[in-house]
Amino acid sequence: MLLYFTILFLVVIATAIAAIELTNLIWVLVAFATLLTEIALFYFSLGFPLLGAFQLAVYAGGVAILVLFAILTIGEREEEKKESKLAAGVAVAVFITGVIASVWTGLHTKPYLDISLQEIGKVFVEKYALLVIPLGFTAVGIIYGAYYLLSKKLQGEE
Amino acid sequence: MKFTQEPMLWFLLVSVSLLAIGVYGLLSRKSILKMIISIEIIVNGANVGLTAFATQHGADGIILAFFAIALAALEVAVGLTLLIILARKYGITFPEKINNLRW
Repeated sequence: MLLYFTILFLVVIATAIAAIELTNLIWVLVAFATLLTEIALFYFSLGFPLLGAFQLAVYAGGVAILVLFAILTIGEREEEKKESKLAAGVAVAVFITGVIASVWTGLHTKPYLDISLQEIGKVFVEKYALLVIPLGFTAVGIIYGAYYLLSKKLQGEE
Repeated sequence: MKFTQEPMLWFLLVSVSLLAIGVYGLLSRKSILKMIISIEIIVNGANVGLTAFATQHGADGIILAFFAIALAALEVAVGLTLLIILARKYGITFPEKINNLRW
């Protein structure tokens, strides 16, 4: 099982780095879609098949196709690179802080809970059902706000 | 294969690694597309952390991960739409040149 986890971990890290570092956008998309699929494998292996299926459908399916559509629309082009010493420093600081926090919180592992679909549905209805309403309004606000701002500015430019 | 007794620390390390890679990409890339992909990597790292905690503390983490996935998909849709419209009109994909949303 350690070998399985290690392979998953290495593939996830390698594809994440490839998605950031590659310059050909099609290969970036391939690495990104592989990353999303491997994360779905994590969910399946942790015993949450519904979340894994949702990840595959929404992320590895929908989002990857959206990114492909965007790449094919704007065309592939080589990108300029920024000076990245500061970014690397911030990333290393985030990583070290995260590792310390992870060791702090994750050292004592209890036996895994067996969470059924019925229990997920029960917790959702009892605790989070009302949260869907403000989230829906937020989503509509984001989409309408982006459309309004952009159309207003583009009309102003013309 | 199903994990049953693996230390939660392993999954938190996956989460932290994805977070650090995403932060690096967000700060070091000029392309908006790469920045959106970096944000998605960060969100996925957070989701892995949430599900790891769900194995210990109950179903709340899974439901929050569902919400995060749905909102991230929405954010990608809006971001890519803006990117396509701006790239078609101005022929650019670099964020410092896009300043027409300033008041």
